[in-house]
Amino acid sequence: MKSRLLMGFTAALLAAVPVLAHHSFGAEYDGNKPVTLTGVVTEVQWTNPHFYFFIDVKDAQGKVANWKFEGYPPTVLNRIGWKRGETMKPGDTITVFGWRARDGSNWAHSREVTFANTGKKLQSGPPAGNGDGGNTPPVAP
Amino acid sequence: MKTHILILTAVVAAALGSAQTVRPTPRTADGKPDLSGVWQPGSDKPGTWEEANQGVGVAEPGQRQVRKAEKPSYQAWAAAKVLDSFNKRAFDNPVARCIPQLDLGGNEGSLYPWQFVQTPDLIVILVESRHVFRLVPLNAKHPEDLDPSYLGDAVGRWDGDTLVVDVTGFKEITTGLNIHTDAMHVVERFTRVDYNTINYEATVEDPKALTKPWKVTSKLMLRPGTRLQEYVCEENNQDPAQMERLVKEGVTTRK
Repeated sequence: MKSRLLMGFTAALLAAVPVLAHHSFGAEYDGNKPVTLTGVVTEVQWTNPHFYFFIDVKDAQGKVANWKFEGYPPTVLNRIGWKRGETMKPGDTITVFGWRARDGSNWAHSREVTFANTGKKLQSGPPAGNGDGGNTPPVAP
Repeated sequence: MKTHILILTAVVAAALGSAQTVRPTPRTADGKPDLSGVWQPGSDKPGTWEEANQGVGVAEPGQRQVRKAEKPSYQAWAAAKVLDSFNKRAFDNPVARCIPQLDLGGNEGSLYPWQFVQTPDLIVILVESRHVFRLVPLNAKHPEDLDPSYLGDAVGRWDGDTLVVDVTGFKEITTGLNIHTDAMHVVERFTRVDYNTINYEATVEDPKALTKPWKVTSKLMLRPGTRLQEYVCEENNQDPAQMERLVKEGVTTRK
């Protein structure tokens, strides 16, 4: 968790790097708000231009909340080791690292998924890059 | 004996390695460089997609970028538009509505491959992201009755071993962070310098929006075994609705 937080912090420090991580990532997500959650997959939408998956996350009191995560499109996932209908299925327990949406709801952009049954980690979305929208406008001074 | 075998193995491996690095540019029957193949833009690592990319090759923040682009010098009206979009975190980026843009040297973080199909009179560039095809007829003129388009009209010619592509006839785009008018003119240069590598350069001019041209340099790397896949952006694009809501809630405004 500490390294995750550090990663998020580093991403924030380097926010001016001109990586187009996600079209308008900064409009929807906040690169300064990293999040790591463990839960049970309830749905996978294997679709373009992004895939979405949903997990039930239980808090310390046992209360369950459903979280939505966004990630790469299937074409990209297919090239980095994912298989539709096999790699992530409803019922699987996973841990997801990503960045929260700006509206504060149970919604985030995913970067990496760890699968509880195998311990395997796979990238699921791009780095935050200019995650907060960038500190420098793309205009020559 | 064991040492000799080890040395011999090392020598052979080194020779094979250097042979690989100098593997020459393939040529077509008419002697031109053959650009055919599937390429990853914005990378400089040889090998298959898997070999060349940790994950998918999107640079982590702080990593070296292969693609280098100058910041455009906008005229005042255009700079004001870009800054306005920047202050709203680019919620109005047309790409979020599945609108394609001319991807100069791999602006999309090297996620998506390009494929070149080459004939003596026509080169076709297929771009996986948003299903873009670019037709580059060689030694042709731009049509006089051009209807402005998102990707513009391209014509090509060989300048020695470099494919020079002249692109004009763009639709005006004045939202998002990459704006331009219908006067935009792009010249791209593709040079396959060896078996694995195409050097890429582009110059962008737009006398209605810029005070001077700006340039991009990048590289494209051959990706044996990679195939382009279907990418239908309209399938489940939730971004426009999400952004509309976030804009209404005021969360996209930079404070």
